[in-house]
Amino acid sequence: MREGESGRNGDLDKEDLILIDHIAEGDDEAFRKLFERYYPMIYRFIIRINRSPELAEEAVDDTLFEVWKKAKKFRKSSKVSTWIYGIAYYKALKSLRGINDFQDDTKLEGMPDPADSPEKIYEAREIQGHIHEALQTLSAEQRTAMELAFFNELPYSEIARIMGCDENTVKTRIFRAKKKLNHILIGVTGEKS
Amino acid sequence: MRLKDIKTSGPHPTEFFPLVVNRTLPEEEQQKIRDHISECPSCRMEFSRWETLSSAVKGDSVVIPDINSAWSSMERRIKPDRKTSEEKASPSFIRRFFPSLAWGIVALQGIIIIGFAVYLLIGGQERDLWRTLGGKTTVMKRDDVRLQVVFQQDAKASDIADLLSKVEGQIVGGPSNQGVFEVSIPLHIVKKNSMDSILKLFRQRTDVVRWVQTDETI
Repeated sequence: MREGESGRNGDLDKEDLILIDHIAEGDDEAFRKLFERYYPMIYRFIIRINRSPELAEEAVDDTLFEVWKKAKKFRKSSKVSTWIYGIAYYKALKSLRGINDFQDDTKLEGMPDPADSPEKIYEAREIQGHIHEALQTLSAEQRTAMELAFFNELPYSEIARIMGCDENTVKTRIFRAKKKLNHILIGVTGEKS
Repeated sequence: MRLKDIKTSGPHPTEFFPLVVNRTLPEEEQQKIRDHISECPSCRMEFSRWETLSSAVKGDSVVIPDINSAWSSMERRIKPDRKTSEEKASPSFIRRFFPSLAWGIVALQGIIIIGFAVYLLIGGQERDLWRTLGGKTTVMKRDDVRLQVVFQQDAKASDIADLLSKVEGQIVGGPSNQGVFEVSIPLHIVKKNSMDSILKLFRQRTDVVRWVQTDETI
């Protein structure tokens, strides 16, 4: 948890818990509040994994509908956000199976080799573009771990809960993803490889 | 590597860099690592790569779909038998501003329709209405009664005029192929004298009228 933000996050989690209690009793106004809070975050999270706006919308819808249906069964052993992200991760992977989008670790072969054009490599905007492209070539698991670690700024323990794996696996996925992108990152940070 | 082993000089704490970048390590531990980074050029470079990667992930923008329409479709899913808030939020102009007036208009329309149906069913006022080409349904008001009349071939025009003047009648149609004329008699005359007496009057004048009939009643 970040310094200085634990209070705010704690409040949000308490609010989420109250909303979940109301949702469990069929309160659709409470559900609307939770929906508005989570829809953008979950959409962003899912589209990072399946990369299809149509499938992402469907998966977000399914995720939040699952929250509505299963609110009564939420055991409060984790944060509400962790529970919701866990459902979203499952839905995103499920949507991926439909488009057979799981990727192996060799997809970076098509990336431009920085050594081929050093003068362009140091143009920051272009390299940033390369990073965005490279992020798209990571495997679904790696993209998920990166997204949760750096966009959502979650600790390994929570990422592990969401992804249904142990913390070491999360760590490995993040480091492998970074390794894949290393040659581009070296260019961006102005190093000579 | 353990966090307590991190020192300014010593093993490179690279495995903790993602946790410093996303600030999920306790502040005290973060400071230890930052102290090491400030003294170690290779770690400084490596840490910079992690920061770049984090910025790239954060900066990867996504266009979020319209949340209101997303909620409308979700509302239909959670409450399929209820109107969505979007539908509730856009009633017609009258319903929005005059909900009771809207119900009043509906009730008034109902009363008019039922009243008209009863009026037609009673049939007592059928005389006042035209029959349409589509059948015997009477829908239009009329203020006369029509007789079908066949005059004698040798009847004089003056005699015909004399007979018609007694009932303020006038020829409004004919003759048809069979020689039938249509004679209009004002309704107030029919009401005053009765239809039977008018028909009787016509039938008595056998020198003028060969045949008369009407299928209208009052």
